[in-house]
Amino acid sequence: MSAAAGGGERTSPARVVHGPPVPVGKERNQSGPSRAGEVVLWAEDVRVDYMGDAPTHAVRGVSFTLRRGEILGVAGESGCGKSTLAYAVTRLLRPPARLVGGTVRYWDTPRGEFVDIMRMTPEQLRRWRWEKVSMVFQSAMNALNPVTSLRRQFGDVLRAHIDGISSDEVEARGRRLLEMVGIDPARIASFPHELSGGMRQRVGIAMALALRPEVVVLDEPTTALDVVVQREILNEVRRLQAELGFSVIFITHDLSLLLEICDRLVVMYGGEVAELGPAARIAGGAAHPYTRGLLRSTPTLFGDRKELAGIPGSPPDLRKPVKGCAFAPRCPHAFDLCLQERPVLAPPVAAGAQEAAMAPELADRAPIGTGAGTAAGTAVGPGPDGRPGTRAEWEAACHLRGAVTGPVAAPAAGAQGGGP
Amino acid sequence: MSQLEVADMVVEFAQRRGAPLRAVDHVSFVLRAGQTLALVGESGSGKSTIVRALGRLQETTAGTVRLDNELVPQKGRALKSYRRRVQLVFQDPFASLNPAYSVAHHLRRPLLVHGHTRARVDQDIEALLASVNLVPPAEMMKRFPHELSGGQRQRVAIARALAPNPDFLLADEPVSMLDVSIRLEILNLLDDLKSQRNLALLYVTHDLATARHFSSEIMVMYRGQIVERGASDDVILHPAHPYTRLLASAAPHPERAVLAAAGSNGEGTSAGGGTVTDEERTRRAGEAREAATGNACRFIARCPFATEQCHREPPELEVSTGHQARCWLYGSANVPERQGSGARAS
Repeated sequence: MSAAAGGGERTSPARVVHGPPVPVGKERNQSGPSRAGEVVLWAEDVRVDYMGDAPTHAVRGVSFTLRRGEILGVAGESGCGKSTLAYAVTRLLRPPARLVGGTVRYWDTPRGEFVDIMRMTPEQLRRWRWEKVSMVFQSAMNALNPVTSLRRQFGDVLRAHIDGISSDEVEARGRRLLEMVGIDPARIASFPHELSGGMRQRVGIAMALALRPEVVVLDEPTTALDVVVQREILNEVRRLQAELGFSVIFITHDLSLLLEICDRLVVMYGGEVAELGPAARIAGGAAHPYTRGLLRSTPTLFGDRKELAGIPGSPPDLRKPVKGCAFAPRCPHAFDLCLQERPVLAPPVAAGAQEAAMAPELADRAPIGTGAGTAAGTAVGPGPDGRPGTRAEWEAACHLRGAVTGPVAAPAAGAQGGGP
Repeated sequence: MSQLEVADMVVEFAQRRGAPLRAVDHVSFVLRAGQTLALVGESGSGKSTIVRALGRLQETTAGTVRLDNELVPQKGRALKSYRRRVQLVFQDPFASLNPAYSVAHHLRRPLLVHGHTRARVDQDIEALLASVNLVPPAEMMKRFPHELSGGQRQRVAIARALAPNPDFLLADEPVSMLDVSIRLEILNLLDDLKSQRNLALLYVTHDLATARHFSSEIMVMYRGQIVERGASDDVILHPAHPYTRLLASAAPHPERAVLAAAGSNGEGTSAGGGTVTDEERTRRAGEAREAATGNACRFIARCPFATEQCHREPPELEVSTGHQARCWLYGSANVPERQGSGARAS
């Protein structure tokens, strides 16, 4: 395992950046599950502003990697920047939104190197979209054209990307795609309004998969659907993903849903990454107080009835500079440092260190970055394996460094006393 | 003790062609002071129609509504006292407040209509805002809806509903438009108000988990009918009707991930494994958009346990004390037929 690939790209940025955290194979023209685990999309220090008299800093230095064949969940409340991030990494931002910093690289398999998507020519970009990266939107009704049949809409996609494709071929592929997502192929003659909400979202998924992309971004794909249909769509996504091996970025505000279906999870707050790690570990005990708050905000269906609390307060105003931790004003554990210094992403400490973490000397021990770097931590210190620049599997941007970990089911009642 | 009793409510909507659409089909229930009754079901099942009919915003085709044993008329002046006692909170706080008016205006009108004096009305508005934790009230009452967050708007909507000092609050998906971190605060607020003011609360939702946590009783609705009802823990932990079981198995289960992390496979709560074919069948049938014909059970085309007798209308049968399901499976002679149910029901 060596982080060797992408060499050509790594020298290009002005400042030295560490390589992608997960090794990337050098082999060319290899595809499928054998290369599972490689990075296909590598976003680093992405910053997006919504221009205006007072620009809104919607995404404030987010880094993450998407690996081949994984489902990466992006969670957070409205306004946390999760959709903006998705639009940024697919280069779909439109004014007034502007990418003001950071890079997004896509692993170009035939070329065997990372390609900076911001430097793609319009023609490269046109090909890249849908052939390599496609998107499923929240409102399937609005994503489909209401005045033409599904046949023509499949035709639009296929003809735009496959030169000289025949009508028969379009028909055959459209039918195959519908069948693939569990819809009667005869429905290819239907108009969107003739389909139920769940079926429309299936069609949206079929369209997204029409050109066998390597990455599919799902932006709140099930929010408008009820639970039974939501479950069907989720099962469908998982089945197709296992079959076809694409990677998924799954955006939703429903953390409990993500915990169940994702491999890894990015929790966003106020335009930054609050926590990033394997879903199973976050489910077992989130490190960031915000993630813990979110988990406590969603009652479980079968668990014991317990006192449930939301997160008091409201998200920060992103037009103003955020001093310290964005979550500090709402955080039950906040102490002096949290208001002054921006925490960087760092691996949480073991749950066993809980008592130590609550002690006042915590302030000396906790921060490993200065806050001067990016919030998402391109300047993060040595990882657990000692290699510089290697990111840990599980990280949280909190001065407590996850010291409040432990079973989420029991709200850390005593932890309130942790702050001065 | 005040109670609102709905008996055999039927609501039909005329259609351009064919028979009228029966959105609510012989629904009966009772709202009692100090209790929360949850009404759950998928979109289009008739939940909101019941709320609208109960709020007298929608005429009923048949059936009666009785408030403390007095028949409530469909319309007319006599409704004024009923409306004072029965208030609604709507789903979308972005649509239910008038953007052209301040918060104070929204609260002043119901207060004046229901007999508060102009002289004292500002004090009353402040008291109302304080009761829904919109502080400082003097500051909040000057605000306009666009200056408030979604959660704050919903608090204003709740304050407006409380203005006439009602005994019954009908909350139609009060938190589904709000952020997850805000939802619980609103639900906790409703719960506190219920206890403080001894309100009867009808909580309409599609979220089984909050239904269980915030209500003492749950009714599950499917295609206009109540298919299951009972104490909330009974209905969620031991769902009886195949539709409720489907709902329970479809809900997100973060516990599964927790169990997986702990090394257990979480089989106890999972609906996977052996029931894949059932689910598949349910799904395909659901897409076929079956038309409920005649008296047959509405769920027949999606039901993995359907038998011949399901073509006759199923009665509400007792599953256990106080827990009923509208399903032939629970006729005493039929209990052995529940094969495969163990995996789904637990």
